[in-house]
Amino acid sequence: MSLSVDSVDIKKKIDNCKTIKEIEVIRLEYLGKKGLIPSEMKLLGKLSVDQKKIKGQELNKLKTFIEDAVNDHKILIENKKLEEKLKNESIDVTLPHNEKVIGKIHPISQTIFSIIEIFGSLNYSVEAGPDIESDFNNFSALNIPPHHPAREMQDTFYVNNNNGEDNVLRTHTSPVQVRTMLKSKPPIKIIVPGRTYRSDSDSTHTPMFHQVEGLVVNKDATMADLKSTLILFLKEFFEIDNLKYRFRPSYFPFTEPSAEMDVAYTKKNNVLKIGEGDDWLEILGCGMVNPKVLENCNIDSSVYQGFAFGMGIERLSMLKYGITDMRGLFDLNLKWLDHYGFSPLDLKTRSEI
Amino acid sequence: MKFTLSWLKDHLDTDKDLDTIVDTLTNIGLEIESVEDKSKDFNDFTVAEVLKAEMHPDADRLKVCTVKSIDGTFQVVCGAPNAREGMKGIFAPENSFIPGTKVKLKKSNIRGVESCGMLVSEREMGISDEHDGIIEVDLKYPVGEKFIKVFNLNDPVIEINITPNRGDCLSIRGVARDLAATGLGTLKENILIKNIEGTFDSPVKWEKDFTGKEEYICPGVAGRYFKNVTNKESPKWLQQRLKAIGLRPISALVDITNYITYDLGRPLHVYDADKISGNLKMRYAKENENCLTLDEEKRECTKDMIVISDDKQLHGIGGIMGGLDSSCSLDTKNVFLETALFDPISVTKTGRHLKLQSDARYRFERGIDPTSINWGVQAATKMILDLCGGEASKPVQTSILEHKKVMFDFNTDKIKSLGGVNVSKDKQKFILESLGFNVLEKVNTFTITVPSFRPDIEGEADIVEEILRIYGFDQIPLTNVSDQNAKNIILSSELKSFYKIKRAIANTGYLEAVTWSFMDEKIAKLLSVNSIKIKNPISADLDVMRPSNIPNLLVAVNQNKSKMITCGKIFEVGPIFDESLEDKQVNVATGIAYGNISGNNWNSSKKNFDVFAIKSDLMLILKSLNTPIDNLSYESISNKVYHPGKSSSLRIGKNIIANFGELNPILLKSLNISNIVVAFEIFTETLAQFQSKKTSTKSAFDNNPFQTVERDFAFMVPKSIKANHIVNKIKKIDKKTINKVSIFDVYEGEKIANESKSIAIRVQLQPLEKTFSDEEIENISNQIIDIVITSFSATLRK
Repeated sequence: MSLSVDSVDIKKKIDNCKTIKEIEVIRLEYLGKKGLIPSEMKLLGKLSVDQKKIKGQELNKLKTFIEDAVNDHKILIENKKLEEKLKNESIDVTLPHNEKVIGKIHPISQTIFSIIEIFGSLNYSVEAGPDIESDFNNFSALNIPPHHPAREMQDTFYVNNNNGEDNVLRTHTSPVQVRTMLKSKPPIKIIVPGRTYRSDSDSTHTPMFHQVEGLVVNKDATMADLKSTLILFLKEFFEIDNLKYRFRPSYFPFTEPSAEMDVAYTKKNNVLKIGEGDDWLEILGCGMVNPKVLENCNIDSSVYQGFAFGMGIERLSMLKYGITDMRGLFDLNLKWLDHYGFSPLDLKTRSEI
Repeated sequence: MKFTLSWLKDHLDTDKDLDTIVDTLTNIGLEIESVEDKSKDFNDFTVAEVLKAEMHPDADRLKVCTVKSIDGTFQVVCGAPNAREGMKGIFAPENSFIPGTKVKLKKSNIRGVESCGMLVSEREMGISDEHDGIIEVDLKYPVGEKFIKVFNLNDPVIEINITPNRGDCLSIRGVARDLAATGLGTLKENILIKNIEGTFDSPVKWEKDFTGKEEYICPGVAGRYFKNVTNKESPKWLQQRLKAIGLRPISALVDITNYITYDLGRPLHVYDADKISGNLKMRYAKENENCLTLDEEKRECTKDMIVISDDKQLHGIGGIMGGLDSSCSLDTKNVFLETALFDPISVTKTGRHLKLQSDARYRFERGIDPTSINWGVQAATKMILDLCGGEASKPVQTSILEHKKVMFDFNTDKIKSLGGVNVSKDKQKFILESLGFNVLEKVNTFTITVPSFRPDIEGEADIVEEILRIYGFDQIPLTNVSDQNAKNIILSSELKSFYKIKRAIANTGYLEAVTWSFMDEKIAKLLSVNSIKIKNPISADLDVMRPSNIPNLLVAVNQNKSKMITCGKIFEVGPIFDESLEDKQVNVATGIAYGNISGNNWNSSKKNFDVFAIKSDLMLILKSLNTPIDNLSYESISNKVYHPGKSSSLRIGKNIIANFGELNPILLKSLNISNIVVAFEIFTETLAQFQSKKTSTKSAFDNNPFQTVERDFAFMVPKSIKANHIVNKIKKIDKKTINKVSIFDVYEGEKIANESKSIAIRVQLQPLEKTFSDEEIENISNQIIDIVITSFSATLRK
């Protein structure tokens, strides 16, 4: 005995349906309570054990087959319906989105981040100190004598101190070197980025600017180490392999010997290119710490020696990022800040992640 | 400091070319400022003869000249009245660059007559303002002779920067000495220093008031008397040298003093002896004493200034400038000479006080060779007698404070241990001796005597610099400076929060700005009564240290309006200053926001930045710096920066971490800002405690499998009740199971009683050991309702 239905026919019937309703009719015809398969199932009891088994399996197989065909075709019809619906749902995606503003890091900060990263990799620690300083820390300890021109009112900002003595707005970040030497013992290996002030205001000077200074004090730091450190720094900072430089003798009260470093540059279409060329650009001052400064900071200059260097962060920023107007750095022109600023994700690590 | 190459070669015997000399100067610390080598600019211009000069057919004032130059005969149209047949002038050929007018000369047609080349004036050559006619040269010069040779312009002018420690190089001889030490030449004998005996006793004597402890103020003065001199124009060579370095020749006597100032670094003064009454004396000025100086200004002196006086009046200000009344003129017959020494600090103070700069002051400030008091007189004598004739008296001088020689031992290994380069002892000795040091060689040391003209040399470090700068800084080898040893902590926690917060704030959409640490006191006093005033501000509106960073940032609001930028988020991280602060300053990350939150978009709410917008930014920033924001407690702000009712401080433990809120309309009004601005201030140092990570390992993740449940409650509470008090109270019921308490609606208005508001709260519950039963949930809910009702006079809305 076999079933009088052909699964292929049923499948055809199902697949020909156009609506869910039509499928439901067919489903009921076979699978509904009074449908073919349940009716056949009821008859199973009358059969022998063997036949029951065979017939039962057949019926179950057919049942599953029909269920699957029904479900498949149902999904097909539903999806078709959805597709029709989606066709009428189009919107103008070219309409502007809600613009989220991306914040920016100021070029001065970005430059400081770079400097910290490079000197950090050479095991320098970063130090900081107050902007309002004592005369001793800013001048006397650094071997700048009382009549030195830098102390004139036209060069240095003075503020009243409570006890009658004048304090100064630090004219360089060197007082932090003094503080560090006074509070800690060598070896010392620090850089000090920070705000500095001089009474100057024209197209290339601002009354407030930023400096970074470095100080190394130990028993054997030499001028060769100083020179090598600075070359390494400048190559990393400007991201160039070949750096044409000049290390020439100069004078600072706090270093002896003293030097200034120039880098070669070319100027094409108003854009400076650092590293090569026939023109020189002064980029930093440096030298071996004057023994008098060490002594002023309670460090035995017969045992310890060291080097120091300092450079202007504005100049480094302008050179690296092609900024031509220094005063823009301190302005609140939001377009400028957006233009020259850096994404907070623009990390100055080697891998940039 | 300026000089010409030929002048340098008076002192330095060298066959090296200009470029080598120039490079060497920079390498030894005498940095080149400029080199003016006119031989290149003027190479095209030569002497030419005017063969014919005829009237231009169409112009009365023009002549058509036939000019014979070394390259042939050319027709030149010329407007100069002195252009005539037979004269010799300077010819500029076609395509030459005319230095005075800065144009390239082209063949032209002037009123129908072709003109090839030009006969030039002094102005066109850029050597003077003379433009009344063309240059006429002596007929002795042959056609084709170079212009630069005729005008002696083939002597390059070199200008160098002298660092303040190198007063000795404010003389050409000093520069030559430094160059000789490098081996590029040898220092010649100084021909000006010769002992010339006097023939009579000087009728004028030098006196000084400075003795004992004060003698260093004016260690001495010397001079001599010259009779029957003839003052006149200086010889050409002397005039040319002075002109080349930018000095104006005046008369032989005056030019001699200027010449010796530059040649030997020895300032001098010459007095017309017939205008002096009695002896000359160095003394302090009396209060309100006046001196009419050479620049024809009446100078009011103070009691700390050194002046030169005779019996009747002042004749100069010591070390700075002589007096007009006794200055030498072309009529001067008898001369009295001053060669003096002054304390550099005294000269500096006087010069600053009088705002008077001079070549003499410049040199005295930087220190003068004390032995020059004698050789200065000799040099001046030689030149005065050579150029002006006459007779010299026997020298006169006051007592002279003895110059103490500076001597010390120098360890020759220092070059290696400090400089990092090996220089042989012989080379070290050669350099030092060339620079004028006396060197006594011992086993590992030199006993060094410092020359009198180098007051800047005080110890071994100075000697290292002397040897190294001459040996060449470029000879210092490179070393490996990468440090593989200890890994230092690069940033302390305080600095880490100071720098890192910039990224956190920028990441929240703010533009970083950098503004002055100063501001206008008029605004500052609205914010603080303890502002720190600057005694000498750069301008009247930047006269106080900023007690808050907000006003500086607020400048952006109006400044950017003209660019149609009416909303913004800006921040700065930096110090604020106040007398009341410990250390007088503290670092603050300040942000302001104003205008429409998302620009005027078709799809956005037209909402402006408000307290809750900035609070949301603030919390995100604090969270990104690991601040446990759930532990923040609110506290009202006492300052006048913020709107008193729409702001708060946030505290953790003993520290105020941040302030935020709407800015005080009174402050905004004073800055002419009409829109609402909201702001935050984060005290970066207080975040340091959250920055140190001892370990990167995280605690295990608690993957709790039980169903989370939420229950909503709506309460009516008095308006004065703060939302976070309710939230905290609910959390305290069971910190373990109460996961999250959020407020999803707040309503104040018509439908509820006046002094009340409705707050809708959603509480999320997380069972710990097994799924909650209905009873357990009911139980917690009741606890919540009870505690809110009893603590806050609330009623439950049903």
